[in-house]
Amino acid sequence: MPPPTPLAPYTSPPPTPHTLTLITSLLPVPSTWLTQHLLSLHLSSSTSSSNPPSTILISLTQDQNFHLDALKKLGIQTQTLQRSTRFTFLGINDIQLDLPALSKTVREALSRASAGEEEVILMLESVDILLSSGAADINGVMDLILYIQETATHTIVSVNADDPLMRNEQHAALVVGLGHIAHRVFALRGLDTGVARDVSGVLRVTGGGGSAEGGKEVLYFVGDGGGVEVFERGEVRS
Amino acid sequence: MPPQSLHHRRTHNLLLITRLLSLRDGVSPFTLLLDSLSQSAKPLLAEYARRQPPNTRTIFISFETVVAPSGISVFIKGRGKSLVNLQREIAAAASGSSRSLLVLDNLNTLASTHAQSLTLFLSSLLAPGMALLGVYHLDLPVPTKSEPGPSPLTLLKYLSTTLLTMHSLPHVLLQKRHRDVSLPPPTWGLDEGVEGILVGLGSNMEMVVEMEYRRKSGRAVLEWFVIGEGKEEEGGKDARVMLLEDHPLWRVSEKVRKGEAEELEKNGGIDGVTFELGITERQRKAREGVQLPYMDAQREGGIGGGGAILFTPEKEVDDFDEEEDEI
Repeated sequence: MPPPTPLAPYTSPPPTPHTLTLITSLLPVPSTWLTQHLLSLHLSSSTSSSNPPSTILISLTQDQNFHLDALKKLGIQTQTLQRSTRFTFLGINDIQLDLPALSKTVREALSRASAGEEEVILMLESVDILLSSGAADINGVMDLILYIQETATHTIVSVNADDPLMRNEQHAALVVGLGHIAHRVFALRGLDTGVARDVSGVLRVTGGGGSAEGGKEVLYFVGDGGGVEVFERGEVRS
Repeated sequence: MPPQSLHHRRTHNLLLITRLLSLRDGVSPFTLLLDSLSQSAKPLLAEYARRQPPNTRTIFISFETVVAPSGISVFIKGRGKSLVNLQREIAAAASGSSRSLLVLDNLNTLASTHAQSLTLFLSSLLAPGMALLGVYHLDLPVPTKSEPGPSPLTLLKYLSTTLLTMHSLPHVLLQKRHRDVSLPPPTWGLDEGVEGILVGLGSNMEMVVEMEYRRKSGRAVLEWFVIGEGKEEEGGKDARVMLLEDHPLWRVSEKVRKGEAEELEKNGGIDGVTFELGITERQRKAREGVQLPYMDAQREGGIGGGGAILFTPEKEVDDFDEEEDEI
């Protein structure tokens, strides 16, 4: 068990079901490590608890092997995972970038996963690709996300929030709109002082609408091996 | 506002917000809640639902909520439905109830899909015994369409009888502290202008509500309230409501200002004096007792009685001419 990081109080699943967690990232500070971190937390919790959650990961930017390799590095037994019916992984190669097709895929995956009694966790990576590729409009994407949120126990959605993208009205409407729905928002950005050798970026965790938590900012560092260190500002690291 | 009316204003406005939250006697047919990522209106919606009398039918029309909040009688999904269908569903849900509260959790969606007919739709919902509560997110971009006419927000503001704008208490306090020392007010979230920041720190804490209540006469009542969570006291109790200026944290900085004002008054309105400019009673009496020179001149009548010019020529300096003087 790794030592508790400053992030620990924020990565526990929300107390109420049908909640949405939003992750925003920028091009220089991708959120894949955070997706994998949250994923590994869910998967490792599934080995201990009696009723393990079903997990669905849908990535619109990465392929299956990218995340599986990373999970292997985090100590998850990916071989048993791939054989398990509790784990559905759809990479960029497995899906069509087209809203009706994707909705169908999601619906099927969700109905398979929620057949049992256990909780269902769905992660949707870079959902804004649907907008920028012209596959759907904002209402279509929101409809899909709200459907997922309603069906799954917990939904984790990541979006790109770079300034040039945010200047697009539809894109900004999607990101801000998701922020209003989200129970918790993880926002990644670079250091205000520029690039550093030992800090990859800043992670701001805030509560979304109606969560009554003020928020927190921590720094993180993604090492060569994919290991991530999360620490407070000014903290002395070994 | 003069300080003597504060007590009166407090009593009056606290009563008003209590009436507004319970929507007693049709006090406000259409309440518009304006929120942002800094402070969501959801806790206030929950407070509204909690404060309704038991005979109220609360109808929630959802555009972004998937689970019906507590205290809701009817939950209707509004996404993708036509206004006519929605109207029919609402009418069916409200029928047979003498008192209903209609909650729309997101007016932005309707404003973007039905920009032209939104106000007409909302006014068609307004009926006796029906109160409307609509949330509009201020930070969602408005689609730029080439349609003529005012923006949906302008129309909604025009239509509403009460406007409630949400703020987060830490933000309001920090803004005040900056204002007090003439610094530009700080900004949060998207307004911070930092790439990658969506929600400001200190968001969604204690709720500050800026109220604009429009009386039938047309006069508007403006007030700021802090509406705290009611959970710390016995369960199910209403949240504590107080004027913002009665909040202990607001009063801290206000006390500093008041102290400064008192000091200013003592110094006869001159700021930044390190010594006292006034005098004590003893000093005043001592000053009165001082014998000033030329006291004669200050006496009634003075010297010579009336405005005479006293001139004593000096022999050596003045040119003395006896003949001329005699003329």
